[in-house]
Amino acid sequence: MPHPFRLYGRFLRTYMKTQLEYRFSFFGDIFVNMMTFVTLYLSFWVLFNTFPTMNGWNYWEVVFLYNLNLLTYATSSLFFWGPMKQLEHLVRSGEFDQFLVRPLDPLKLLVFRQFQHTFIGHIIVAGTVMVLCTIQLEIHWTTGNIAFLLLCVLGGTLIQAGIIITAASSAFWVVRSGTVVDISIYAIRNFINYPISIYGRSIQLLLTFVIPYAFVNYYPAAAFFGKDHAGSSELSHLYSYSSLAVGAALFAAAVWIFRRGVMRYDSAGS
Amino acid sequence: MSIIQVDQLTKTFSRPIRGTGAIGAIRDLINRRYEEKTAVDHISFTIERGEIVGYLGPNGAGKSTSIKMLVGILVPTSGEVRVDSEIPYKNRRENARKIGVVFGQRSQLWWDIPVSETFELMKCMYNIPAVDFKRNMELFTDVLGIQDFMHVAVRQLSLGQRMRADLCAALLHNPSIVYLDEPTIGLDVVVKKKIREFLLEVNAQRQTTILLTTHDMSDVEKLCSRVIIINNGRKMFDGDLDRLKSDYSAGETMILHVDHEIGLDRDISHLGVTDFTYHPESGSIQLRYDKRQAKPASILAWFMERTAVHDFEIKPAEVEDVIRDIYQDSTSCGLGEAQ
Repeated sequence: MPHPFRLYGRFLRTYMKTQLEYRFSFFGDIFVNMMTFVTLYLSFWVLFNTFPTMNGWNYWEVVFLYNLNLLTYATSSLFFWGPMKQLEHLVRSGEFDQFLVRPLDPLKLLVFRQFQHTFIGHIIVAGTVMVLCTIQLEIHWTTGNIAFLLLCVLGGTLIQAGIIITAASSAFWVVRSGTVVDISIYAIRNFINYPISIYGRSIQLLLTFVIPYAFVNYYPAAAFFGKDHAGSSELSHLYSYSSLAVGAALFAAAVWIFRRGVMRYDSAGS
Repeated sequence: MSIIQVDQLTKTFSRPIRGTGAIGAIRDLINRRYEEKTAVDHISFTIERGEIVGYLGPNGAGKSTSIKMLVGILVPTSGEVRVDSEIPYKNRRENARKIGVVFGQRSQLWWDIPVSETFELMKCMYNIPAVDFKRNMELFTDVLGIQDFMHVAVRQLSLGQRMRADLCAALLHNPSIVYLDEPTIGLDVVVKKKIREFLLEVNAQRQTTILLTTHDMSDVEKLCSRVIIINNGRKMFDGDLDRLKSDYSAGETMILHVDHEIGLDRDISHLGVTDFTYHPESGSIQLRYDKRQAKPASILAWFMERTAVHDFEIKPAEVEDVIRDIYQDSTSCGLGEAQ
């Protein structure tokens, strides 16, 4: 068995080599993505000029909240966005065949083959914004809160990955799975741009129990800033420390669903 | 122990029946109906180590579907496949290590990178020892002539080059079984010849088992010691080429070069001749008959009594004719080939 990291390194090197042949487009991609998010943060700023707080969250707190979403989404997307967006096409055309004749798990091979460098831009933005938030909110970093945040980022990344893998795996059951992916990672994820306490109960429940995006940023950030939870019950305080567990469970479930899908794959026989 | 064991293998696809027009489309939304299509229907065979087997059949016969079950891409509906005593779809990774796959219609290579990079990736993916890798590269580049386009990106290769690179990539890890789905499709004679020589060489040197589908009968004649013919998902024939010819190709053609025509209206069906044409420009008569019913000697004698025969030749049936006969025998109903 080849060492997976060594193999991934090999794939990554090959990918970078082909991408850097077009250096301008490589850095251009990253720059354009960075600009998109700078604009988005500016739009928040405009919004907060009208309303100084949003359900008790000030501008920089909402920026921090959004930033957690962006950082975890981008980290997960470096690896999963490209292959998962492609899965519908691969399954429909039968090109997925080639992932099933290699001595490597098909999901791993999909991820290995396509790194998505464009998300480096998102990560640079998220890192910079994190520094700005630290200054503006006068966050005092301690070993405790650094560890907490890192575990939340890890959990959040797993949640983001779990959701996109699950959505994309629908390709094995339905024809237009691309729509399922887009709704999950764009439309529904947009809900967590703001504190979910501003929404009605049903949306809060949806984001907690069905598509658990709330564990990506809302619950951890609420604990981080000592905010009152949406529907603050004893149980919901536990949510703030559950991101990693939710992420691990969701990711495992997603891998399981993907494998179930592979068993149904009919190689363009339909 | 046979290296490939296939027992009562069956694959059924269920596909939606689509209505026509707007009303049909709306009806489909509400109540989607499915129909079952059996692409592979209780097929059984075994293949021994080192055999080269041609897996033949008309389009839509179920060839690709069977191969996809053998390599582990598809899960059978029922029946069993064992390759080197493992079940391919259950042990995909272990199975993949032992097999090489080339699908003529679809490259396994990575589109954007040079051929040499692909080989390096294969080396890493299959953990090929440096010594083996070097030896294989030398052999393969030599026989297949790959060095000319080693550093060209895959998408810029011609069909023949791509196929050679694909073959090379599929064999680098010394697989014990190689599956080839239409490996010579669309290639010119020179490349075809190279590929055949290469396959024979690999088979001879390493006892590599080869299973190939093709529509090119010269592939079959030059490569295969045995053929399996399927149609409509069922096995029609399994045996060596000679037996195929003797069992099915009783048809022969006799050509007589004669001085003058001898009345085409005469009834010679009592001789067992099924088809009879006279070509005035070459002064030849062409006769077809079934070897089991007619005696070539008595046909010849009958003509020599009536005209001067300068020369004659007898042509046995081509494999192509034989197989066409088998295809036509089994009444065909269309089932689009699963690619």
